[in-house]
Amino acid sequence: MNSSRTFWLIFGLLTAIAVHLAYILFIPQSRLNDRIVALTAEAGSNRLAMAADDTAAAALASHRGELAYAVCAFDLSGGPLEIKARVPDQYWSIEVYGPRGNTIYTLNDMQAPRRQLSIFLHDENPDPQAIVEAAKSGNRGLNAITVLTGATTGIAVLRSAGANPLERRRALDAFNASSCGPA
Amino acid sequence: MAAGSTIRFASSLLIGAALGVASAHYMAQQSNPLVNERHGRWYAWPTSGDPRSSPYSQARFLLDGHLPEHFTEVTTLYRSHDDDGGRLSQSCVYLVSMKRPEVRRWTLSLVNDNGAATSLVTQDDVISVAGNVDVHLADVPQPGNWLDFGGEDPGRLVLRLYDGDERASPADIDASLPRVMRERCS
Repeated sequence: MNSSRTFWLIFGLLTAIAVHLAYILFIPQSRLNDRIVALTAEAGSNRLAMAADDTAAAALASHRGELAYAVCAFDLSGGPLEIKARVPDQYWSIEVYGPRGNTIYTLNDMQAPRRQLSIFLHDENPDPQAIVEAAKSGNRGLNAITVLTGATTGIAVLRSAGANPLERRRALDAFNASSCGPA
Repeated sequence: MAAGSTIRFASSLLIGAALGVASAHYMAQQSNPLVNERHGRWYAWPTSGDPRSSPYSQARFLLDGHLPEHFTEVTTLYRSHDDDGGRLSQSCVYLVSMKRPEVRRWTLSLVNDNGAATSLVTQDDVISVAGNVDVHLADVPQPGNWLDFGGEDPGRLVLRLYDGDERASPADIDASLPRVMRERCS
């Protein structure tokens, strides 16, 4: 009887550990995927979407009272992606996330080499020669940054100061002069 | 005998699953002291890229549907209580007092339980005297710097320090963290 109780106790405990780990590892990712699917359905993939009120993009923005956001859900299965960004004279950052919400790349206005720059995203199996050739081409200069994502899908988030009308106007001007699309 | 085993199997499975979900929820809670980083009554969650980040801190952001900002970009600190341990309430007036943070940008805001900012000040909005900043939290207008409760009890007071390209050290963070003193209650 005692060994039977111990068995079921251990069984229950192992179930709890398995469910705990599964929940922490998969449910948050599933929530993120849902939001990315909603964003893609609304704005399409490989396109920059402003996080205006009641948009799927806004649902990914955590501090909308003080920051303006623009997001681009990307899918590199068709080839590399180019994010053209204009950097305003205020706080600005770009962060590229993988499908699990992990940061792949980040850059802010103080680190940006130029006020206008291009970030090229290549997927997990990039052809090194193609990257070298592309880097040599006239399209890529000092203001071009190449990022190997290690994943085919993900999301890029542009953030800029937006706590008052002036900051928000600067942020939106910069986002409107930015784009996300096939390279 | 077979029916008894089935019942034991089912009940162990159900109890185990319930415990697993409940413990996962607890670990990913906003104020969980086991995972977050404490600075007095302020707390912070290790964010993306932070060596101290864990699956729990990552889960905490994603469960809210948000993408964690990289730890080199901004440090976000929260608190729900005043210095005496009382929960922040709209029926009271509080004085938030701090040295002006030496970071490129900072914001102080009140957020509701849904995480939406109901009131916010930035480094550009505040009057500071001799490098000190005092901000009142109240439901009615106050002289000087003021954050409005907006007719509801706040979920949290949030301080965000934008660091540029380097994370402020814990000592720098501690030195710049505001005190929150209850002045009076109605």
